[in-house]
Amino acid sequence: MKDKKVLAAQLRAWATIPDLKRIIVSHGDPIVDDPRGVLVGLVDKLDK
Amino acid sequence: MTKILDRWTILPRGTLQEIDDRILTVDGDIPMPLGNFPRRMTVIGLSGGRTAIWSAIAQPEPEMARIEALGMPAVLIVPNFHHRLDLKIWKQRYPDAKVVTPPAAREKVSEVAPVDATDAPAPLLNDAEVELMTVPGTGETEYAMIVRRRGGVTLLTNDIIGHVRHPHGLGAKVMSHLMRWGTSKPEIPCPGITT
Repeated sequence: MKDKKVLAAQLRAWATIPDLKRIIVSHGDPIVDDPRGVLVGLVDKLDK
Repeated sequence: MTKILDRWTILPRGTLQEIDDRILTVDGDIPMPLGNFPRRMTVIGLSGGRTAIWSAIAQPEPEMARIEALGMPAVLIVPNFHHRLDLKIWKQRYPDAKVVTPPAAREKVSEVAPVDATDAPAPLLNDAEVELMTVPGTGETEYAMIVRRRGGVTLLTNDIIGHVRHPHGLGAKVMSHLMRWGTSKPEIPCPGITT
C-alpha cells in the first residue's frame, strides 16, 4: 500500500454502506459476519 | 512467481457457488512449494446477458457451461498484476472479452493479454448495479468492485484484505502467518504486498 490514511478513508467509506451484505476477497473465505464491523476494525489497525 | 498458464489447465479447486443473485464464486489453489495457497474467482452477471470475471480461474466444462448460462464472459477483471495466471487462456477462449486492470498493473498485465481499459472501465461494464474502482491509497495497483442486488450489496476486494483461514500445507501456512493473510480473522496483508 502507498498511503495508509487514504486507504483507511476508503475502508471507512465502504463501512457506511448500509446494506453491505458481504465482502468477497481474492484469497480466502468471503466475509459474511458483520462485514461493516470488519472494515471498521481494519481501519482501526491502519490508524495505529 | 507461478508460471502464466498457456493451456486450459484445471488446478485444484472448490465448488462453484451462487452467493447472491447472479453472483457466482469459487475457490481454488495455487501450487507452491510445500503447499497450496488459496485463491478465488467471482463471476458477476451483467446486463445484456454478459458476465464480468473477477480474477479468472479455469474451470471444468460443466462449470464453464454454468458461467456461460449466467452470461457470456465480456469483461476479464485482473484486480492486480499478480492475478494474471489464467488470463491468457481465458482471453484465448473468449477473444472478444475486454481486459481491465488498475493503471499501475497495465504494463505487466499487457505482457499476457492486451489491456482495454484501466482507470475508466465503467463503459465496458455498462451496468448500473456494478461499480469498479481503483482503490485509493494503493498506488493504483488494486481494484475493488461494488455489486448492488435487491438483497444487499457485495463488495469485492483483492489483496487489500485477506481471509485465508485454511491454508493448505506448511509453505502456505508459513506464508499466511508471516504476511498476515488473515488466518484467524480478516487482515490487511503485510504492507507492500499490493505494490
